[in-house]
Amino acid sequence: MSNTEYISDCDRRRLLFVTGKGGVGKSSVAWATALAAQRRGKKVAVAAWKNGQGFPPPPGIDFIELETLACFREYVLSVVKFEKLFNVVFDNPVLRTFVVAAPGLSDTVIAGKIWDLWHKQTYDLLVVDMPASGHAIQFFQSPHGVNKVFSVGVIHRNLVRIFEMLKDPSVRLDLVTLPEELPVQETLELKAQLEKLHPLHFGFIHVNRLLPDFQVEQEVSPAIRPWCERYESERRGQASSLTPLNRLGMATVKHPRFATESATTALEQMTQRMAPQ
Amino acid sequence: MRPWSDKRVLLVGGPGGVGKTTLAAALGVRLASQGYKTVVLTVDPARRLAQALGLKGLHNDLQRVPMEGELHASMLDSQRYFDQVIERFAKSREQAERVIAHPLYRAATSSMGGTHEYAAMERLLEFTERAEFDRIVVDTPPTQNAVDLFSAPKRMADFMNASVLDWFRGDTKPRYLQWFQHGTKMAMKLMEKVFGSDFLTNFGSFMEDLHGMHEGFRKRNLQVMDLLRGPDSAFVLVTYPSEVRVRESETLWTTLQEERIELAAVLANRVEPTPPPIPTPCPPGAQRLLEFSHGVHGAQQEWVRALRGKMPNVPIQTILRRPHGPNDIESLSSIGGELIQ
Repeated sequence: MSNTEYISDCDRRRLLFVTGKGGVGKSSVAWATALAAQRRGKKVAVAAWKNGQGFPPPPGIDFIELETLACFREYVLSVVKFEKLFNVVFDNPVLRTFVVAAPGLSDTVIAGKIWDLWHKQTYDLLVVDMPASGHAIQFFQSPHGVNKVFSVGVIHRNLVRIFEMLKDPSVRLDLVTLPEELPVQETLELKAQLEKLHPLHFGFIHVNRLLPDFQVEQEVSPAIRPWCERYESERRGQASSLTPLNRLGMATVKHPRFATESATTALEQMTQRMAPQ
Repeated sequence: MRPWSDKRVLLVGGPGGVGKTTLAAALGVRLASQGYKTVVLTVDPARRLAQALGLKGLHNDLQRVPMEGELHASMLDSQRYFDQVIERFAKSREQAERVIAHPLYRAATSSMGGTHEYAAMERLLEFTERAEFDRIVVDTPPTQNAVDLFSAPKRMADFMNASVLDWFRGDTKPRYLQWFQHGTKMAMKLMEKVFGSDFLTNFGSFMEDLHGMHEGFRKRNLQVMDLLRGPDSAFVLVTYPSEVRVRESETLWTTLQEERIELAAVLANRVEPTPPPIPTPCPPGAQRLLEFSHGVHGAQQEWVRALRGKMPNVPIQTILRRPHGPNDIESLSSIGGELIQ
């Protein structure tokens, strides 16, 4: 699928989760999608976990930091209106330990915050730049685990709404990978694990850092032949590493390797391919 | 400063996806071939490591790597290992059984997010105490933040800290209701409203089961920090020459300085070799390719220079990218040779 067709699909969504193994370029895909949607006239925000990879946010897009205690506070205060009481009870180091350590609570209040943004329709599109695979699974698992632990109470009611949201067709989950054997294998496993958790709407597989095809000539001078051959063999290797992805039945969005190591430049080039100006 | 290959404990860490595991394995292979009895310790389900070392899979037990020189690999199933730690710190077998069987135990250990990190640090101490190995290379878990790694034992201790327990202890039943007697009726109501009373009872009983265990974790924390700050340990930062990774490396370095842990070397991984000059004349396809290659190479070199500028007193080594990834002892050994001459 072309990258412009990809961004058209985003027009039909209001919430997009982006995940994948560590270091595959999740944040780049998340921000480029946000930027491209914004250039198409949408009001867009990117939400990411605290301590996430330090990607410089481009102007014009709201950045929402998903921090446990802040989300917890906001969440509880939306239910009980007594801020003073909240402060007395929860502005206490002991309770802070409790909130951070209580099983699944952190992920659940963060999911609650995402629900709130989605529900209020604050943005046309909210892109959630998720943590790496392991934590992403834990995140989508948390409502199940928490459901058993918190069988009553406010947290429990919160869960029901999160389950509803994940089923909604306006919500999509994309996976990001690299054109190498192990990352591809891990993507297959990640999808299998996520599928078991919720009836999520899987969208696209993003393949980052694909070596461009320069249509290199068969006959080149001996001085540059080894270099060209090495490149071409690597490029073919990348292409064949992607074959197992066909089994997933998800459309692929391809992002080339850019000749830059600057985050801003790479982001601009990736965005351009989605929303050409 | 001693050359970093003289350190007994090397913690290999850095941002996700930069090739930490491979470089940890390469270091292990190199040190073993130099005659040091070496162990590489990993906590990830690191198939890459097992594959490269010619092992079928990594088990909890030590596995000897088929090569000349003595190299062992150890992979942890962190949950199982954590259970053993609980057994060790428990006052009695009954206490350990109660904790492990508690409905909140699995959930609590995973949500603290520290079991991987904790297991790595605990296992490291175990190996140093056994004095069996000359070199211990730790392939650290992909932690967003280096502090999470070192502070895992501390977080565990904090969680089990007596003061948290005090909240839930008392002589009335259920125990958490003791709050009422302290005049915090409103607070209790709020807690109940938010968490539900079942959870509070459960949590109270879990904390009760953990009673007395925080001391063990606290001691471990001090031991870990002593070891890491000591003259025999150092951190090896693996990174990649790009804007984002260089910035992350700087943050990590700051943390290491705050924690007073020596940074022995920075390894800028997957650096492209210098492309040949573009000949004249050159067919257009090859020209496009070479321009691209020079672009990538130039961009990487710029960030290698930036790294050198930002971390002036740290040895920074560049490691050439292997197009097909190292998948045997020989290729690991060749990388290892680049690392330590």
